[in-house]
Amino acid sequence: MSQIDWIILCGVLGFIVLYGAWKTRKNENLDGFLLGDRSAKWWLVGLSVMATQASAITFLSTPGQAFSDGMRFVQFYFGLPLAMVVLCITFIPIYYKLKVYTAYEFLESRFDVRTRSLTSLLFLIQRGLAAGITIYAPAIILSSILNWNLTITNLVIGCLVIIYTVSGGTKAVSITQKYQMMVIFGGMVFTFMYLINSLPENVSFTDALHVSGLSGKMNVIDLSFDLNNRYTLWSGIIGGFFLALSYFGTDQSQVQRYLSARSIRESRMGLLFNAALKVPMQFFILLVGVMVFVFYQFNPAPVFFNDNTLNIVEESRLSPEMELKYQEYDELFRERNAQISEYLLVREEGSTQEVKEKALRIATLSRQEDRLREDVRGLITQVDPDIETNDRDYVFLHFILTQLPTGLIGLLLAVILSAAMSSTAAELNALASTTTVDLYKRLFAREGSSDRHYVFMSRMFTLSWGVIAILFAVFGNLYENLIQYVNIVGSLFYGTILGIFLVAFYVKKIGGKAVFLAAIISECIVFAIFAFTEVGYLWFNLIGCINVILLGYIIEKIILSNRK
Amino acid sequence: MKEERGWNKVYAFVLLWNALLILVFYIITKIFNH
Repeated sequence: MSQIDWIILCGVLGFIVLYGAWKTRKNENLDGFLLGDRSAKWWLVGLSVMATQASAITFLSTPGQAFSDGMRFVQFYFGLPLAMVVLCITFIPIYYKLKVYTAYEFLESRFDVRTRSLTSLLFLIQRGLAAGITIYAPAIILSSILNWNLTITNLVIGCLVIIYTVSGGTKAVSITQKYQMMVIFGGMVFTFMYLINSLPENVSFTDALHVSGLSGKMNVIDLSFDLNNRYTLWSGIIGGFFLALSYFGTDQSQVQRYLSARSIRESRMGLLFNAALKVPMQFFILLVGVMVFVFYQFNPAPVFFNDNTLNIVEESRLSPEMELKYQEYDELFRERNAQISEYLLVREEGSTQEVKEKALRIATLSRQEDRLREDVRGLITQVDPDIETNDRDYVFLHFILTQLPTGLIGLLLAVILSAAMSSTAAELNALASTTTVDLYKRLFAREGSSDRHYVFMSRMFTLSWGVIAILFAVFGNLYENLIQYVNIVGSLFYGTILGIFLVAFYVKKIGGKAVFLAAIISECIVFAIFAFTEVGYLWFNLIGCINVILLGYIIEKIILSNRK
Repeated sequence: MKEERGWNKVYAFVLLWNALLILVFYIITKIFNH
Protein backbone atom coordinates (compact mmCIF):
# COMPACT_ATOMS: atom_id res chain seq x y z
CA MET A 1 0.00 0.00 0.00
CA SER A 2 1.42 3.41 -0.99
CA GLN A 3 1.89 6.42 1.24
CA ILE A 4 -1.00 8.27 -0.46
CA ASP A 5 -3.34 5.39 0.38
CA TRP A 6 -2.23 5.46 4.01
CA ILE A 7 -2.78 9.23 4.16
CA ILE A 8 -6.30 8.91 2.68
CA LEU A 9 -7.19 5.96 4.96
CA CYS A 10 -5.92 7.59 8.16
CA GLY A 11 -7.25 11.03 7.15
CA VAL A 12 -10.80 9.80 6.48
CA LEU A 13 -11.03 7.63 9.62
CA GLY A 14 -9.27 10.18 11.83
CA PHE A 15 -11.57 12.98 10.68
CA ILE A 16 -14.73 10.95 11.28
CA VAL A 17 -13.69 9.79 14.77
CA LEU A 18 -12.39 13.16 15.99
CA TYR A 19 -15.26 15.15 14.47
CA GLY A 20 -17.83 12.76 16.00
CA ALA A 21 -16.21 12.93 19.45
CA TRP A 22 -15.71 16.73 19.37
CA LYS A 23 -19.14 17.64 17.99
CA THR A 24 -21.03 15.64 20.63
CA ARG A 25 -18.78 16.06 23.68
CA LYS A 26 -21.37 18.00 25.76
CA ASN A 27 -23.89 15.38 26.76
CA GLU A 28 -25.05 15.75 30.32
CA ASN A 29 -28.54 14.24 30.31
CA LEU A 30 -29.70 10.69 29.63
CA ASP A 31 -32.07 11.73 26.84
CA GLY A 32 -29.17 13.39 25.06
CA PHE A 33 -26.74 10.52 25.55
CA LEU A 34 -29.06 7.62 24.72
CA LEU A 35 -31.43 9.21 22.20
CA GLY A 36 -29.52 12.26 20.95
CA ASP A 37 -32.17 14.58 22.49
CA ARG A 38 -34.67 13.00 20.07
CA SER A 39 -33.64 15.56 17.48
CA ALA A 40 -32.55 13.56 14.39
CA LYS A 41 -34.08 14.40 11.02
CA TRP A 42 -35.62 11.66 8.90
CA TRP A 43 -32.78 11.34 6.44
CA LEU A 44 -30.27 11.00 9.28
CA VAL A 45 -32.42 8.26 10.82
CA GLY A 46 -32.62 6.51 7.43
CA LEU A 47 -28.85 6.67 6.88
CA SER A 48 -28.21 5.57 10.44
CA VAL A 49 -30.50 2.52 10.12
CA MET A 50 -28.78 1.63 6.86
CA ALA A 51 -25.26 2.09 8.28
CA THR A 52 -26.07 -0.03 11.34
CA GLN A 53 -27.20 -2.94 9.18
CA ALA A 54 -24.32 -2.65 6.69
CA SER A 55 -21.26 -4.09 8.39
CA ALA A 56 -17.82 -4.48 6.84
CA ILE A 57 -18.73 -8.01 5.85
CA THR A 58 -21.53 -6.55 3.66
CA PHE A 59 -18.93 -4.75 1.55
CA LEU A 60 -16.34 -7.53 1.62
CA SER A 61 -18.62 -10.52 1.09
CA THR A 62 -21.48 -9.26 -1.08
CA PRO A 63 -19.41 -8.49 -4.23
CA GLY A 64 -17.66 -11.86 -3.72
CA GLN A 65 -21.07 -13.50 -3.43
CA ALA A 66 -22.10 -12.00 -6.79
CA PHE A 67 -18.75 -13.03 -8.29
CA SER A 68 -19.29 -16.69 -7.50
CA ASP A 69 -23.05 -17.07 -7.12
CA GLY A 70 -24.58 -14.25 -9.19
CA MET A 71 -27.12 -11.57 -8.30
CA ARG A 72 -29.74 -13.82 -6.67
CA PHE A 73 -28.76 -12.78 -3.12
CA VAL A 74 -30.71 -9.52 -3.62
CA GLN A 75 -33.95 -11.51 -3.15
CA PHE A 76 -33.02 -11.91 0.53
CA TYR A 77 -34.01 -8.23 1.01
CA PHE A 78 -37.45 -8.35 -0.68
CA GLY A 79 -39.33 -8.80 2.62
CA LEU A 80 -37.66 -5.78 4.21
CA PRO A 81 -39.92 -3.02 2.78
CA LEU A 82 -43.05 -4.83 3.96
CA ALA A 83 -41.54 -5.24 7.44
CA MET A 84 -40.76 -1.51 7.50
CA VAL A 85 -44.39 -0.67 6.73
CA VAL A 86 -45.59 -2.99 9.54
CA LEU A 87 -43.12 -1.32 11.93
CA CYS A 88 -44.38 2.14 10.94
CA ILE A 89 -48.01 1.14 11.52
CA THR A 90 -47.67 -0.97 14.70
CA PHE A 91 -44.36 -0.67 16.54
CA ILE A 92 -43.39 3.01 16.18
CA PRO A 93 -46.65 4.57 17.50
CA ILE A 94 -46.50 2.41 20.65
CA TYR A 95 -42.81 3.13 21.32
CA TYR A 96 -43.51 6.85 20.93
CA LYS A 97 -46.65 6.83 23.04
CA LEU A 98 -44.74 5.24 25.93
CA LYS A 99 -41.67 7.49 25.38
CA VAL A 100 -39.33 4.51 25.85
CA TYR A 101 -35.53 4.51 25.70
CA THR A 102 -35.34 0.83 24.76
CA ALA A 103 -37.68 -1.63 23.08
CA TYR A 104 -37.69 -3.76 26.25
CA GLU A 105 -39.18 -0.97 28.38
CA PHE A 106 -42.40 -1.45 26.44
CA LEU A 107 -42.53 -5.07 27.66
CA GLU A 108 -42.86 -3.91 31.27
CA SER A 109 -45.89 -1.77 30.51
CA ARG A 110 -47.42 -4.59 28.49
CA PHE A 111 -46.42 -7.53 30.77
CA ASP A 112 -44.21 -7.09 33.84
CA VAL A 113 -40.66 -6.32 34.97
CA ARG A 114 -39.62 -10.02 34.84
CA THR A 115 -40.40 -10.33 31.14
CA ARG A 116 -38.61 -7.05 30.43
CA SER A 117 -35.47 -8.14 32.30
CA LEU A 118 -35.47 -11.61 30.72
CA THR A 119 -35.78 -10.22 27.18
CA SER A 120 -33.10 -7.59 27.70
CA LEU A 121 -30.76 -10.24 29.11
CA LEU A 122 -31.34 -12.47 26.06
CA PHE A 123 -30.55 -9.46 23.84
CA LEU A 124 -27.37 -8.62 25.79
CA ILE A 125 -25.99 -12.16 25.49
CA GLN A 126 -26.73 -12.36 21.78
CA ARG A 127 -25.63 -8.86 20.76
CA GLY A 128 -22.64 -8.85 23.11
CA LEU A 129 -21.19 -11.84 21.26
CA ALA A 130 -22.04 -10.36 17.85
CA ALA A 131 -20.21 -7.08 18.61
CA GLY A 132 -16.94 -8.99 18.86
CA ILE A 133 -17.58 -10.63 15.51
CA THR A 134 -18.33 -7.29 13.81
CA ILE A 135 -14.77 -6.29 14.69
CA TYR A 136 -13.11 -9.68 14.25
CA ALA A 137 -14.56 -10.72 10.85
CA PRO A 138 -13.16 -7.81 8.78
CA ALA A 139 -9.96 -7.71 10.88
CA ILE A 140 -9.06 -11.30 10.02
CA ILE A 141 -9.58 -10.69 6.28
CA LEU A 142 -7.69 -7.36 6.24
CA SER A 143 -4.82 -8.70 8.31
CA SER A 144 -4.55 -11.82 6.19
CA ILE A 145 -4.33 -10.00 2.85
CA LEU A 146 -2.45 -6.86 3.97
CA ASN A 147 -0.20 -8.75 6.39
CA TRP A 148 -1.33 -6.50 9.23
CA ASN A 149 -1.08 -7.83 12.77
CA LEU A 150 -4.50 -9.30 13.66
CA THR A 151 -4.44 -8.22 17.31
CA ILE A 152 -3.45 -4.65 16.41
CA THR A 153 -6.16 -4.47 13.69
CA ASN A 154 -8.76 -5.60 16.25
CA LEU A 155 -7.49 -3.11 18.81
CA VAL A 156 -7.44 -0.19 16.35
CA ILE A 157 -11.00 -0.77 15.08
CA GLY A 158 -12.33 -1.32 18.63
CA CYS A 159 -10.53 1.64 20.23
CA LEU A 160 -11.55 4.10 17.48
CA VAL A 161 -15.20 3.11 17.99
CA ILE A 162 -14.92 3.35 21.79
CA ILE A 163 -13.49 6.91 21.61
CA TYR A 164 -16.53 8.52 20.01
CA THR A 165 -19.23 6.18 21.34
CA VAL A 166 -18.18 6.77 24.96
CA SER A 167 -17.80 10.48 24.37
CA GLY A 168 -20.95 11.32 22.44
CA GLY A 169 -23.38 8.38 22.72
CA THR A 170 -26.20 8.08 20.19
CA LYS A 171 -25.61 11.51 18.64
CA ALA A 172 -21.98 10.61 17.92
CA VAL A 173 -23.10 7.30 16.41
CA SER A 174 -25.57 9.06 14.04
CA ILE A 175 -23.22 11.90 13.08
CA THR A 176 -20.32 9.57 12.31
CA GLN A 177 -22.65 7.19 10.44
CA LYS A 178 -23.64 10.08 8.15
CA TYR A 179 -20.01 10.58 7.07
CA GLN A 180 -19.31 6.86 7.04
CA MET A 181 -22.22 6.33 4.63
CA MET A 182 -20.93 9.16 2.43
CA VAL A 183 -17.51 7.46 2.28
CA ILE A 184 -19.14 4.08 1.63
CA PHE A 185 -21.39 5.34 -1.22
CA GLY A 186 -18.57 7.43 -2.72
CA GLY A 187 -16.11 4.54 -2.66
CA MET A 188 -18.54 2.07 -4.22
CA VAL A 189 -19.60 4.51 -6.99
CA PHE A 190 -15.93 5.29 -7.85
CA THR A 191 -15.15 1.56 -8.01
CA PHE A 192 -18.15 0.92 -10.25
CA MET A 193 -17.10 3.73 -12.61
CA TYR A 194 -13.54 2.39 -12.66
CA LEU A 195 -14.85 -1.07 -13.58
CA ILE A 196 -16.97 0.33 -16.43
CA ASN A 197 -13.98 2.33 -17.71
CA SER A 198 -11.72 -0.70 -17.64
CA LEU A 199 -13.93 -2.70 -20.03
CA PRO A 200 -12.24 -3.28 -23.43
CA GLU A 201 -12.99 -0.57 -25.99
CA ASN A 202 -15.42 -2.60 -28.07
CA VAL A 203 -17.36 -3.87 -25.02
CA SER A 204 -20.32 -1.79 -23.79
CA PHE A 205 -22.01 -2.01 -20.39
CA THR A 206 -24.89 -4.00 -21.96
CA ASP A 207 -22.36 -6.39 -23.53
CA ALA A 208 -20.77 -6.81 -20.09
CA LEU A 209 -24.14 -7.81 -18.59
CA HIS A 210 -24.66 -10.33 -21.42
CA VAL A 211 -21.18 -11.77 -20.81
CA SER A 212 -21.90 -12.21 -17.10
CA GLY A 213 -25.29 -13.73 -17.94
CA LEU A 214 -23.55 -16.42 -20.02
CA SER A 215 -22.14 -17.78 -16.76
CA GLY A 216 -25.49 -17.43 -15.00
CA LYS A 217 -24.53 -14.38 -12.92
CA MET A 218 -27.61 -12.32 -13.87
CA ASN A 219 -29.92 -14.70 -11.97
CA VAL A 220 -31.61 -11.83 -10.10
CA ILE A 221 -35.06 -13.41 -9.80
CA ASP A 222 -35.76 -17.08 -9.17
CA LEU A 223 -39.47 -17.97 -9.22
CA SER A 224 -39.03 -21.67 -8.30
CA PHE A 225 -40.70 -23.10 -5.18
CA ASP A 226 -37.71 -25.24 -4.26
CA LEU A 227 -37.33 -25.26 -0.43
CA ASN A 228 -33.69 -26.34 -0.70
CA ASN A 229 -32.88 -23.28 -2.79
CA ARG A 230 -31.78 -20.68 -0.25
CA TYR A 231 -32.58 -17.56 -2.31
CA THR A 232 -35.84 -17.45 -4.27
CA LEU A 233 -38.45 -14.71 -4.66
CA TRP A 234 -40.69 -16.53 -2.17
CA SER A 235 -38.09 -17.25 0.52
CA GLY A 236 -36.94 -13.64 0.17
CA ILE A 237 -40.40 -12.14 0.63
CA ILE A 238 -41.64 -14.50 3.39
CA GLY A 239 -38.42 -15.39 5.26
CA GLY A 240 -36.93 -11.95 4.71
CA PHE A 241 -40.08 -10.34 6.12
CA PHE A 242 -39.88 -12.19 9.47
CA LEU A 243 -36.14 -11.69 9.74
CA ALA A 244 -36.42 -7.94 9.05
CA LEU A 245 -39.39 -7.60 11.43
CA SER A 246 -37.47 -9.16 14.31
CA TYR A 247 -34.21 -7.36 13.54
CA PHE A 248 -35.64 -3.86 13.04
CA GLY A 249 -38.49 -4.18 15.53
CA THR A 250 -36.88 -5.86 18.55
CA ASP A 251 -33.11 -5.37 18.27
CA GLN A 252 -32.15 -2.34 20.33
CA SER A 253 -29.24 -1.47 17.99
CA GLN A 254 -31.89 -0.64 15.35
CA VAL A 255 -34.75 0.53 17.59
CA GLN A 256 -32.43 3.12 19.17
CA ARG A 257 -31.70 4.59 15.72
CA TYR A 258 -35.31 5.44 14.90
CA LEU A 259 -36.24 6.42 18.47
CA SER A 260 -33.68 9.23 18.17
CA ALA A 261 -35.89 10.97 15.56
CA ARG A 262 -37.44 14.32 16.48
CA SER A 263 -41.01 13.08 15.91
CA ILE A 264 -43.02 10.02 14.99
CA ARG A 265 -43.26 11.42 11.46
CA GLU A 266 -39.46 11.69 11.07
CA SER A 267 -39.09 8.18 12.50
CA ARG A 268 -41.49 6.73 9.94
CA MET A 269 -39.91 8.69 7.10
CA GLY A 270 -36.48 7.38 8.12
CA LEU A 271 -37.63 3.76 8.00
CA LEU A 272 -39.48 4.28 4.70
CA PHE A 273 -36.35 5.93 3.26
CA ASN A 274 -34.57 2.69 4.10
CA ALA A 275 -37.47 0.64 2.67
CA ALA A 276 -37.18 2.50 -0.65
CA LEU A 277 -33.36 2.43 -0.94
CA LYS A 278 -32.24 -0.85 0.64
CA VAL A 279 -33.10 -3.14 -2.31
CA PRO A 280 -31.53 -0.86 -4.99
CA MET A 281 -28.46 -0.41 -2.77
CA GLN A 282 -27.93 -4.16 -2.38
CA PHE A 283 -28.56 -4.61 -6.11
CA PHE A 284 -25.84 -2.04 -6.80
CA ILE A 285 -23.29 -3.69 -4.46
CA LEU A 286 -24.00 -7.05 -6.13
CA LEU A 287 -23.68 -5.40 -9.55
CA VAL A 288 -20.19 -4.20 -8.55
CA GLY A 289 -19.40 -7.87 -7.83
CA VAL A 290 -20.74 -8.91 -11.24
CA MET A 291 -18.60 -6.23 -12.89
CA VAL A 292 -15.56 -7.62 -11.04
CA PHE A 293 -16.50 -11.00 -12.57
CA VAL A 294 -16.68 -9.39 -16.04
CA PHE A 295 -13.33 -7.68 -15.39
CA TYR A 296 -11.77 -11.10 -14.83
CA GLN A 297 -13.29 -12.40 -18.06
CA PHE A 298 -11.01 -9.99 -19.94
CA ASN A 299 -8.08 -10.02 -17.47
CA PRO A 300 -6.42 -13.04 -15.84
CA ALA A 301 -7.73 -13.85 -12.36
CA PRO A 302 -5.99 -15.78 -9.58
CA VAL A 303 -7.16 -19.39 -9.20
CA PHE A 304 -7.65 -18.68 -5.48
CA PHE A 305 -8.11 -15.17 -4.07
CA ASN A 306 -6.17 -15.50 -0.80
CA ASP A 307 -2.50 -15.21 -1.80
CA ASN A 308 -1.21 -16.36 1.59
CA THR A 309 -3.02 -19.67 1.20
CA LEU A 310 -1.69 -20.06 -2.35
CA ASN A 311 1.86 -19.45 -1.08
CA ILE A 312 1.47 -22.27 1.42
CA VAL A 313 0.43 -24.70 -1.34
CA GLU A 314 3.21 -23.49 -3.66
CA GLU A 315 5.79 -24.23 -1.00
CA SER A 316 4.37 -27.67 -0.23
CA ARG A 317 4.91 -31.08 -1.82
CA LEU A 318 1.90 -30.37 -4.10
CA SER A 319 3.66 -27.51 -5.86
CA PRO A 320 3.95 -29.43 -9.22
CA GLU A 321 0.18 -30.14 -9.21
CA MET A 322 -0.46 -26.47 -8.52
CA GLU A 323 1.77 -25.49 -11.43
CA LEU A 324 -0.36 -27.71 -13.70
CA LYS A 325 -3.50 -25.95 -12.49
CA TYR A 326 -1.97 -22.57 -13.32
CA GLN A 327 -1.20 -23.76 -16.86
CA GLU A 328 -4.69 -25.22 -17.22
CA TYR A 329 -6.17 -21.89 -16.13
CA ASP A 330 -4.02 -19.93 -18.64
CA GLU A 331 -5.24 -22.10 -21.51
CA LEU A 332 -8.83 -21.84 -20.32
CA PHE A 333 -8.58 -18.06 -19.98
CA ARG A 334 -7.15 -17.63 -23.49
CA GLU A 335 -9.82 -19.78 -25.08
CA ARG A 336 -12.66 -18.11 -23.17
CA ASN A 337 -11.35 -14.67 -24.03
CA ALA A 338 -11.34 -15.57 -27.74
CA GLN A 339 -14.82 -17.10 -27.50
CA ILE A 340 -16.24 -14.01 -25.78
CA SER A 341 -14.80 -11.73 -28.50
CA GLU A 342 -16.39 -13.94 -31.15
CA TYR A 343 -19.67 -14.06 -29.23
CA LEU A 344 -19.86 -10.26 -29.09
CA LEU A 345 -19.14 -10.16 -32.82
CA VAL A 346 -21.83 -12.70 -33.82
CA ARG A 347 -24.33 -10.98 -31.53
CA GLU A 348 -23.94 -7.92 -33.78
CA GLU A 349 -23.81 -9.61 -37.15
CA GLY A 350 -24.32 -13.38 -36.89
CA SER A 351 -27.38 -15.66 -36.93
CA THR A 352 -29.32 -16.75 -33.83
CA GLN A 353 -27.89 -20.24 -34.19
CA GLU A 354 -24.33 -18.92 -34.11
CA VAL A 355 -25.06 -16.81 -31.03
CA LYS A 356 -26.52 -19.87 -29.26
CA GLU A 357 -23.51 -22.01 -30.13
CA LYS A 358 -21.05 -19.44 -28.82
CA ALA A 359 -23.09 -18.89 -25.65
CA LEU A 360 -23.13 -22.65 -25.02
CA ARG A 361 -19.38 -22.90 -25.51
CA ILE A 362 -18.69 -20.03 -23.08
CA ALA A 363 -21.05 -21.56 -20.48
CA THR A 364 -19.14 -24.86 -20.79
CA LEU A 365 -15.79 -23.06 -20.33
CA SER A 366 -17.21 -21.26 -17.31
CA ARG A 367 -18.18 -24.61 -15.74
CA GLN A 368 -14.68 -25.90 -16.48
CA GLU A 369 -13.24 -22.93 -14.61
CA ASP A 370 -15.52 -23.67 -11.63
CA ARG A 371 -14.24 -27.25 -11.61
CA LEU A 372 -10.65 -26.03 -11.78
CA ARG A 373 -11.22 -23.76 -8.77
CA GLU A 374 -12.79 -26.73 -6.97
CA ASP A 375 -9.64 -28.80 -7.73
CA VAL A 376 -7.45 -26.02 -6.31
CA ARG A 377 -9.55 -26.04 -3.12
CA GLY A 378 -9.02 -29.81 -2.99
CA LEU A 379 -5.24 -29.33 -3.23
CA ILE A 380 -5.36 -26.77 -0.40
CA THR A 381 -7.26 -29.23 1.81
CA GLN A 382 -4.70 -31.94 1.02
CA VAL A 383 -1.89 -29.66 2.20
CA ASP A 384 -3.69 -28.59 5.38
CA PRO A 385 -7.27 -29.69 6.12
CA ASP A 386 -7.69 -26.81 8.58
CA ILE A 387 -7.15 -24.00 6.04
CA GLU A 388 -10.29 -22.09 4.99
CA THR A 389 -11.02 -22.97 1.35
CA ASN A 390 -13.85 -20.50 0.82
CA ASP A 391 -12.25 -17.47 -0.84
CA ARG A 392 -15.47 -15.50 -1.53
CA ASP A 393 -14.70 -12.91 1.16
CA TYR A 394 -11.29 -12.26 -0.41
CA VAL A 395 -12.43 -11.64 -4.03
CA PHE A 396 -13.30 -7.95 -3.68
CA LEU A 397 -10.38 -7.05 -1.39
CA HIS A 398 -7.95 -8.81 -3.74
CA PHE A 399 -9.40 -6.86 -6.67
CA ILE A 400 -9.11 -3.57 -4.73
CA LEU A 401 -5.48 -4.14 -3.78
CA THR A 402 -4.23 -5.47 -7.12
CA GLN A 403 -6.27 -3.52 -9.68
CA LEU A 404 -7.41 -0.17 -8.31
CA PRO A 405 -5.21 2.93 -8.74
CA THR A 406 -3.37 4.57 -5.84
CA GLY A 407 -5.71 6.71 -3.78
CA LEU A 408 -8.77 4.63 -4.53
CA ILE A 409 -7.22 1.73 -2.57
CA GLY A 410 -7.01 3.95 0.55
CA LEU A 411 -10.59 5.14 0.01
CA LEU A 412 -11.93 1.59 -0.36
CA LEU A 413 -10.14 0.41 2.78
CA ALA A 414 -11.72 3.41 4.52
CA VAL A 415 -15.10 2.15 3.20
CA ILE A 416 -14.55 -1.27 4.77
CA LEU A 417 -13.30 0.07 8.11
CA SER A 418 -16.06 2.72 8.19
CA ALA A 419 -18.66 0.01 7.75
CA ALA A 420 -17.06 -2.05 10.54
CA MET A 421 -17.06 0.96 12.84
CA SER A 422 -20.60 2.13 12.05
CA SER A 423 -22.22 -1.17 12.98
CA THR A 424 -19.97 -1.80 15.99
CA ALA A 425 -20.72 1.70 17.34
CA ALA A 426 -24.48 1.15 17.08
CA GLU A 427 -24.11 -2.20 18.85
CA LEU A 428 -22.05 -0.83 21.75
CA ASN A 429 -24.47 2.09 22.07
CA ALA A 430 -27.46 -0.30 22.22
CA LEU A 431 -25.76 -2.67 24.67
CA ALA A 432 -24.96 0.26 26.99
CA SER A 433 -28.52 1.65 26.75
CA THR A 434 -30.10 -1.71 27.58
CA THR A 435 -27.69 -2.34 30.47
CA THR A 436 -28.29 1.15 31.89
CA VAL A 437 -32.04 1.53 31.37
CA ASP A 438 -33.40 -2.02 31.61
CA LEU A 439 -31.09 -3.48 34.24
CA TYR A 440 -29.10 -0.88 36.19
CA LYS A 441 -31.66 1.95 36.43
CA ARG A 442 -34.65 -0.36 36.85
CA LEU A 443 -33.22 -2.95 39.24
CA PHE A 444 -30.07 -1.73 40.97
CA ALA A 445 -29.79 2.07 41.10
CA ARG A 446 -30.78 4.13 44.11
CA GLU A 447 -34.00 6.07 43.66
CA GLY A 448 -33.55 9.72 42.84
CA SER A 449 -30.12 9.31 41.23
CA SER A 450 -29.34 12.21 38.93
CA ASP A 451 -29.30 12.17 35.14
CA ARG A 452 -25.57 12.94 35.32
CA HIS A 453 -25.03 9.71 37.25
CA TYR A 454 -26.89 7.68 34.61
CA VAL A 455 -24.94 9.32 31.78
CA PHE A 456 -21.71 8.45 33.62
CA MET A 457 -22.89 4.85 34.05
CA SER A 458 -23.92 4.68 30.36
CA ARG A 459 -20.41 5.81 29.41
CA MET A 460 -18.89 3.17 31.70
CA PHE A 461 -21.14 0.45 30.24
CA THR A 462 -20.25 1.53 26.68
CA LEU A 463 -16.57 1.29 27.61
CA SER A 464 -17.05 -2.11 29.27
CA TRP A 465 -18.96 -3.57 26.33
CA GLY A 466 -16.30 -2.16 24.00
CA VAL A 467 -13.55 -3.89 25.98
CA ILE A 468 -15.54 -7.16 26.03
CA ALA A 469 -16.04 -6.91 22.23
CA ILE A 470 -12.31 -6.29 21.67
CA LEU A 471 -11.32 -9.17 23.97
CA PHE A 472 -13.75 -11.44 22.17
CA ALA A 473 -12.30 -10.32 18.82
CA VAL A 474 -8.68 -10.74 19.98
CA PHE A 475 -9.20 -14.21 21.45
CA GLY A 476 -11.76 -15.18 18.80
CA ASN A 477 -9.15 -16.85 16.62
CA LEU A 478 -8.68 -19.48 19.32
CA TYR A 479 -12.00 -21.01 18.35
CA GLU A 480 -12.75 -22.67 15.06
CA ASN A 481 -15.65 -21.53 12.96
CA LEU A 482 -16.34 -18.59 15.17
CA ILE A 483 -18.82 -16.87 12.89
CA GLN A 484 -20.96 -19.94 12.62
CA TYR A 485 -20.74 -20.39 16.39
CA VAL A 486 -22.01 -16.86 16.99
CA ASN A 487 -24.78 -17.26 14.41
CA ILE A 488 -25.91 -20.37 16.26
CA VAL A 489 -25.85 -18.56 19.60
CA GLY A 490 -27.86 -15.70 18.03
CA SER A 491 -30.46 -18.07 16.62
CA LEU A 492 -30.85 -19.72 20.03
CA PHE A 493 -32.31 -16.49 21.41
CA TYR A 494 -33.73 -14.50 18.48
CA GLY A 495 -36.88 -16.64 18.02
CA THR A 496 -37.88 -16.35 21.67
CA ILE A 497 -37.37 -12.56 21.67
CA LEU A 498 -39.49 -12.15 18.53
CA GLY A 499 -42.17 -14.44 20.03
CA ILE A 500 -42.38 -12.25 23.17
CA PHE A 501 -42.76 -9.08 21.07
CA LEU A 502 -45.34 -10.60 18.71
CA VAL A 503 -47.45 -11.68 21.72
CA ALA A 504 -47.03 -8.19 23.19
CA PHE A 505 -48.26 -6.48 20.05
CA TYR A 506 -50.85 -8.85 18.62
CA VAL A 507 -52.14 -11.34 21.25
CA LYS A 508 -53.75 -9.18 23.90
CA LYS A 509 -55.26 -12.19 25.75
CA ILE A 510 -51.86 -13.47 26.92
CA GLY A 511 -50.55 -11.87 30.11
CA GLY A 512 -47.12 -11.38 31.70
CA LYS A 513 -46.98 -14.58 33.79
CA ALA A 514 -47.90 -16.79 30.83
CA VAL A 515 -45.48 -15.19 28.39
CA PHE A 516 -42.62 -15.32 30.94
CA LEU A 517 -43.15 -19.04 31.56
CA ALA A 518 -43.60 -19.66 27.82
CA ALA A 519 -40.33 -17.86 27.06
CA ILE A 520 -38.40 -19.93 29.64
CA ILE A 521 -39.89 -23.23 28.39
CA SER A 522 -39.34 -22.18 24.76
CA GLU A 523 -35.69 -21.40 25.46
CA CYS A 524 -35.26 -24.84 27.11
CA ILE A 525 -36.89 -26.55 24.11
CA VAL A 526 -34.62 -24.67 21.68
CA PHE A 527 -31.55 -25.66 23.74
CA ALA A 528 -32.75 -29.30 23.81
CA ILE A 529 -33.25 -29.32 20.04
CA PHE A 530 -29.78 -27.81 19.63
CA ALA A 531 -28.18 -30.39 21.93
CA PHE A 532 -29.97 -33.57 20.87
CA THR A 533 -31.02 -33.17 17.21
CA GLU A 534 -29.49 -32.21 13.87
CA VAL A 535 -32.06 -29.50 13.02
CA GLY A 536 -30.44 -26.60 11.09
CA TYR A 537 -29.88 -23.58 13.35
CA LEU A 538 -31.84 -21.15 11.14
CA TRP A 539 -35.00 -23.05 12.10
CA PHE A 540 -34.43 -22.20 15.80
CA ASN A 541 -35.75 -18.69 15.04
CA LEU A 542 -39.09 -20.00 13.83
CA ILE A 543 -39.34 -22.73 16.49
CA GLY A 544 -38.59 -20.30 19.34
CA CYS A 545 -41.09 -17.76 18.07
CA ILE A 546 -43.97 -20.23 17.55
CA ASN A 547 -43.23 -21.91 20.90
CA VAL A 548 -43.65 -18.66 22.83
CA ILE A 549 -46.97 -17.86 21.12
CA LEU A 550 -48.48 -21.36 21.42
CA LEU A 551 -47.19 -22.11 24.93
CA GLY A 552 -48.18 -18.62 26.09
CA TYR A 553 -51.71 -19.23 24.83
CA ILE A 554 -51.94 -22.71 26.40
CA ILE A 555 -50.59 -21.54 29.78
CA GLU A 556 -52.90 -18.51 29.84
CA LYS A 557 -56.05 -20.32 28.69
CA ILE A 558 -55.75 -23.71 30.35
CA ILE A 559 -53.52 -23.43 33.42
CA LEU A 560 -53.92 -19.88 34.65
CA SER A 561 -57.65 -19.48 33.87
CA ASN A 562 -58.40 -22.84 35.65
CA ARG A 563 -56.62 -21.56 38.74
CA LYS A 564 -58.66 -18.40 38.69
CA MET B 1 -57.73 10.12 10.39
CA LYS B 2 -56.77 12.37 7.50
CA GLU B 3 -53.11 12.08 8.46
CA GLU B 4 -53.33 8.27 8.59
CA ARG B 5 -54.82 8.25 5.08
CA GLY B 6 -51.84 10.33 3.97
CA TRP B 7 -49.46 7.76 5.51
CA ASN B 8 -51.31 4.92 3.78
CA LYS B 9 -50.52 6.59 0.47
CA VAL B 10 -46.81 6.75 1.39
CA TYR B 11 -46.82 3.06 2.41
CA ALA B 12 -48.54 2.11 -0.86
CA PHE B 13 -46.00 4.15 -2.80
CA VAL B 14 -43.02 2.43 -1.11
CA LEU B 15 -44.49 -1.03 -1.66
CA LEU B 16 -45.36 -0.26 -5.30
CA TRP B 17 -41.84 1.09 -5.85
CA ASN B 18 -40.40 -2.20 -4.58
CA ALA B 19 -42.85 -4.22 -6.69
CA LEU B 20 -41.70 -2.21 -9.70
CA LEU B 21 -38.07 -2.95 -8.83
CA ILE B 22 -38.84 -6.68 -8.66
CA LEU B 23 -40.52 -6.44 -12.08
CA VAL B 24 -37.48 -4.65 -13.52
CA PHE B 25 -35.19 -7.31 -11.98
CA TYR B 26 -37.37 -10.02 -13.56
CA ILE B 27 -37.02 -8.37 -16.97
CA ILE B 28 -33.24 -8.04 -16.45
CA THR B 29 -33.05 -11.76 -15.60
CA LYS B 30 -35.05 -12.67 -18.73
CA ILE B 31 -32.89 -10.51 -21.01
CA PHE B 32 -29.39 -11.07 -19.64
CA ASN B 33 -29.32 -14.44 -17.89
CA HIS B 34 -28.66 -16.97 -20.63
